[in-house]
Amino acid sequence: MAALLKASNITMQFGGLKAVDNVDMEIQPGEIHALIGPNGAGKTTFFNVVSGIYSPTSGSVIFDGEEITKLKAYQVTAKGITRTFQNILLFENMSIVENVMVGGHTRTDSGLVGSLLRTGKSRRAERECYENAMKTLAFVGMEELADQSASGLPYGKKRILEIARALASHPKIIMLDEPAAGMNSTESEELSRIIFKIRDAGITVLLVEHDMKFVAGISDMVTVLDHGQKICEGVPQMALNGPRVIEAYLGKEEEEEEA
Amino acid sequence: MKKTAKSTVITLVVLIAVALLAPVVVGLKNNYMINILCSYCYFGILCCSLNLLLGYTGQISMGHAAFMMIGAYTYGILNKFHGVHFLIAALAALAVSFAAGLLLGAACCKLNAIFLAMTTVGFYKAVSTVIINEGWLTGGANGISAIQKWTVFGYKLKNWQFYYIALAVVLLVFLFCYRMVNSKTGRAMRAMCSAPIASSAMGVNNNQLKFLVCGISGALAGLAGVLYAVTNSYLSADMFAKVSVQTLTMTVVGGMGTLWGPLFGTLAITTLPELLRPFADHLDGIYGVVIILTVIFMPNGIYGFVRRMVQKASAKAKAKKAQPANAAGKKGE
Ligand SMILES: Nc1ncnc2c1ncn2[C@@H]1O[C@H](COP(=O)(O)OP(=O)(O)O)[C@@H](O)[C@H]1O
Ligand SMILES: [Mg+2]
Repeated sequence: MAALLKASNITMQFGGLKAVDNVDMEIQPGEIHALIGPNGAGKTTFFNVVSGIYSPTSGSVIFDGEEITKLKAYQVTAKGITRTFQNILLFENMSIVENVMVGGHTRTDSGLVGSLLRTGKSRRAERECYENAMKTLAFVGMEELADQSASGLPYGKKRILEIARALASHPKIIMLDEPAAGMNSTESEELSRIIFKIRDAGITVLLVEHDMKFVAGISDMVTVLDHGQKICEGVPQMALNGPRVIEAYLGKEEEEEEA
Repeated sequence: MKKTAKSTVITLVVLIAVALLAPVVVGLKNNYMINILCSYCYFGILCCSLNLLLGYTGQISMGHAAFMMIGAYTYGILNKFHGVHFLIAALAALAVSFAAGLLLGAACCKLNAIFLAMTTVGFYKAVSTVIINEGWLTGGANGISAIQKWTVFGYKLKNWQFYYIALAVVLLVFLFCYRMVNSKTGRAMRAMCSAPIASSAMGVNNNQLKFLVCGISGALAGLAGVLYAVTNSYLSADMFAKVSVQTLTMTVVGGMGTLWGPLFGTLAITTLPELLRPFADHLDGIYGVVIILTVIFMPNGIYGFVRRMVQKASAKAKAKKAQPANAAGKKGE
């Protein structure tokens, strides 16, 4: 089977620091793929490269058979890649349903002139955008909150709203950056249900997560980064118990004790 | 979907009715008052223009008068010096100030807030310097005088008739803004204002959007300039010296990022200088103090303040209805 996303020799350098160092990664369609590694390993940077927020120092990203390395973030979204953010970036000044409607930006076919003149086409497009947003909210179980402000949501719900916003773009792959961070156990159980639902809807999932139990319970494939380099890849039982992985994580704990 | 609230419709109808009756109340022949009424119109448009930029898109323009000047002078030069028909001159003014807005768009794409603020102040200075120095084009320090009122089919419009046209233009601009901020483009603007990285990750082309909004904002300010030129029938660069700060005050005090805010701000702040005639020399300082007080005590402006009061009052009314339960709760405390 051809990979849905193929990143080859990705290097992202900030000054003297190689945040991502010559990483190869293939994501197969339909899988839940976890990207793990200690803090500062380069996971978020890898997401930023794939989603077009950074342009890599070297290497290439092929998505669905098409080179997307040089595309800007908004173009990448239109191709079918979407994401959430580790440091929640919601549109706090907007209602929940409006947040999700912005997620549907690339799938909404109404221009400014059409909207100004209230043409039939633009009204239809707006209605579809709204209905799509409500359906997506229902998918994650938040449709009752639609008209509330996004800023008033508790932490866990904000993370779910980010997922809904991302899903509204009808992606082929969704990249979740630490979706369970700050969630209690009920919330993270709910989250894993949602992630399985996303996979069952035919959307490939790439996720960064620290909670090993969460990763082991949910992913089909695990890639481990450390200091920007890929040190291990495989099915969860194997990847999570590899000697270098344990070392990377134990090393991290020592550092924390020192600090 | 979004429905227009009943209170919105009522407020709008009342405002329009007042605006329609105002010339009759002040007297159709009272040109002084009619001109003040017209000034509400062009300041209202100017505030709508700045609001799209500052309130909805988060881009600062500290020299918004520059675009008004460009519109006003384009109109004045074409209409007065070259005898171009007023409609064509007005359209040209829109086009030129739209183009000037695109320049601002380029600055917005490259600069962060502080540098943008400085650049826009500089842009205003540059425009007024060019206007003063290039006398062959602009009339220089003498300005442009005796700009004609509009003549429709051989009939020369009176001041109060022009006011109704200006009023119609304001209402159109307001409708334009209403539809714009509630469109896909408007959502993208608000999204970019709040979290630009997230908006681009959701497929919004931030830079293109900045160009678009700056162009539109420039054109609307230029339109205000046209009305300004016709109302005052005289233009000189120094007339615009206080306009940028005044517009900023109106937008911030009224409540930026809301459609109503700039309207309230315009009503309040256009009235203020008339009431404060004796202190005319200190007007800039007064604006400054008003902005500071507003930002501290009413960060959402007059509109936000009024809305919160109304919400509080209705919440109180509800609480009163549910009093028995409440009273029991209080005893328990
Ligand atoms: N924009 C940036 N500029 C400079 N350094 C960065 C930037 N983004 C990330 N880094 C650095 O790259 C390394 C990897 O960071 P990150 O990708 O956020 O790690 P992770 O998400 O795995 O915790 C860190 O050392 C971080 O300080
Ligand atoms: Mg990270």
